[in-house]
Amino acid sequence: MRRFRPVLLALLGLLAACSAEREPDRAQLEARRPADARLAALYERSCLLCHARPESGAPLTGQASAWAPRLARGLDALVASSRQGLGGMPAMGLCAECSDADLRALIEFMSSKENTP
Amino acid sequence: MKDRRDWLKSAAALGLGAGLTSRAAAQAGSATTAPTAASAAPARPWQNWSGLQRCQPSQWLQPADEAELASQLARSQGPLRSVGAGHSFSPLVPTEGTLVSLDRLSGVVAVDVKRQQVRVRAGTRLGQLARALDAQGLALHNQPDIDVQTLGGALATGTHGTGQALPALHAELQGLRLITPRGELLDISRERDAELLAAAQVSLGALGVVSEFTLGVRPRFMLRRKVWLEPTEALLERAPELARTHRHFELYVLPFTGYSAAITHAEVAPGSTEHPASADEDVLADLRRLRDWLGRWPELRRWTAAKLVGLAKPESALDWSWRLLSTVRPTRFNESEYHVPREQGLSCLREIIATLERRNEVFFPIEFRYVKGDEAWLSPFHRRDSCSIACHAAHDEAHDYLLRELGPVFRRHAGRPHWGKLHDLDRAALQALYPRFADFEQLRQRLDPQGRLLNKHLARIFGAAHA
Repeated sequence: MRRFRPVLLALLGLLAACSAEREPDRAQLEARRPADARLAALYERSCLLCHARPESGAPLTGQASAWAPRLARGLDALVASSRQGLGGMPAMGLCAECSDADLRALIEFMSSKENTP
Repeated sequence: MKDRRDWLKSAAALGLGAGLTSRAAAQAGSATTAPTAASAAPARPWQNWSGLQRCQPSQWLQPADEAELASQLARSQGPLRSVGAGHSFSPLVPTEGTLVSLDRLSGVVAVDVKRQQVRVRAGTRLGQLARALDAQGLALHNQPDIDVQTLGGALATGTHGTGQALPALHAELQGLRLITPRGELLDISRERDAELLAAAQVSLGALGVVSEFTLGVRPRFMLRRKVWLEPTEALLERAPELARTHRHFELYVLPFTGYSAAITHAEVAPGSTEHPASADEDVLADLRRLRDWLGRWPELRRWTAAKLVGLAKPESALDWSWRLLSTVRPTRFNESEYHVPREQGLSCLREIIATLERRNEVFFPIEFRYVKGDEAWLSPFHRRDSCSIACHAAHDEAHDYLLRELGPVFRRHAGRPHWGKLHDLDRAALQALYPRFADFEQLRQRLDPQGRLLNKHLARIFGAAHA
């Protein structure tokens, strides 16, 4: 039964152990915005809804460690993933009006170390 | 209240007291934004969140304001559908014609704190609205499980949360502004014409494109969440009492475990937030692993799961309502959900569990919620308090059994389908379930005589030819 140990640990984690993880500051996550007003508006009605929610599984805005392996694929690849959808992210990342340039700028903002607390 | 036939006659004359405004008048309201062909983005394909529904529209319209929306609709030709966040699993959106995205028609227009009402543009996402309301010290009365949907899409499909005394989102509507395919504005309010509002509250996007809603809200509030696991039969016995004594109660049956997760939310005085990270995705992954490893041996699967789950401890959280009631679902799935009369909820759920547990591949939790009835004509909760039962399948696995095997069970219990989730009911079946269905069809025919707002799916539902 040793192979079930991860299951046991995870199921215990369902209701007990999660608070042991360092929880990101939700208020800080919620407060971050691109400096450009138009980009900030796009961010508010699309990216923010998942990238500021720790439970989303998405790399969080300003969480450099989560973005690093993704950035290693190159920005073009990340833009392509945003257009096509990836994992839980829908095609266009909830931003029907975003151009490739918009998507690139939003990814750059979310992955920027300057936004890391 | 007007007699239903009276207002239909007035609708036919397109001079109804609800406030029909001409296209020119609508445009005059925002003369600074001239509708231009440049507003139409280059056509790109569309797909819903799960990837099940796809289409290649001829063009996208992305109006920036109501006047531009009216102008664009008036000038457009051929089939026309609205799209929100793409979180419907049923084929409400696919069209080879024009897709209208209201993403740019977003944000709160006005807040009336005294009347506890807000005017909101239809493209506003629920999570965005919740944040905006919170900043004003306000909140929605209830929220659905996820909050990335646009308000327009959520209301058009009868989206709901849970709570025995809480109706679906559309029940809080005080008014809306609807643009017909001809570009005419219908300004509908509960005060002027409650009947017309009841018709348009849940419209499947078949009456026109809504540009703005007036929504009842309340002062913001904190909730205490409790989550625990309990043997399923024991929890089902206690479910009515838990629903009666908590503002929000729902349960998730964990198939092939003998256990269910119970979730209650009670309104409490504001305090310091406690919000541990959600383990939903971990549990889902564990249930999938149990299925993968022990799926062929259901009894061993159940025995193993019971040993593990039985050791779990309850979870508690305290936060503002909008942060607890809705979450994000990273694992993509397809879903079917039916709403059955409250008194049949638990018996129907027991049948659904038994039916699903005949299939060893099933691992997704079965969601069971409570919703109060309302008056909207096409509301799945029309004049009946209901229990909602939602069943899921991973997006990359077979889901046909959700309709083929669960559908007959739901139908035996007079279930009405969630409009945005998978179902296979045709017009005859829906007519029998919705007493105002014929009235809605008449109104739809008058507002969209050419059937431009019907795609193949809606043409089947309404028994009409589509453009």
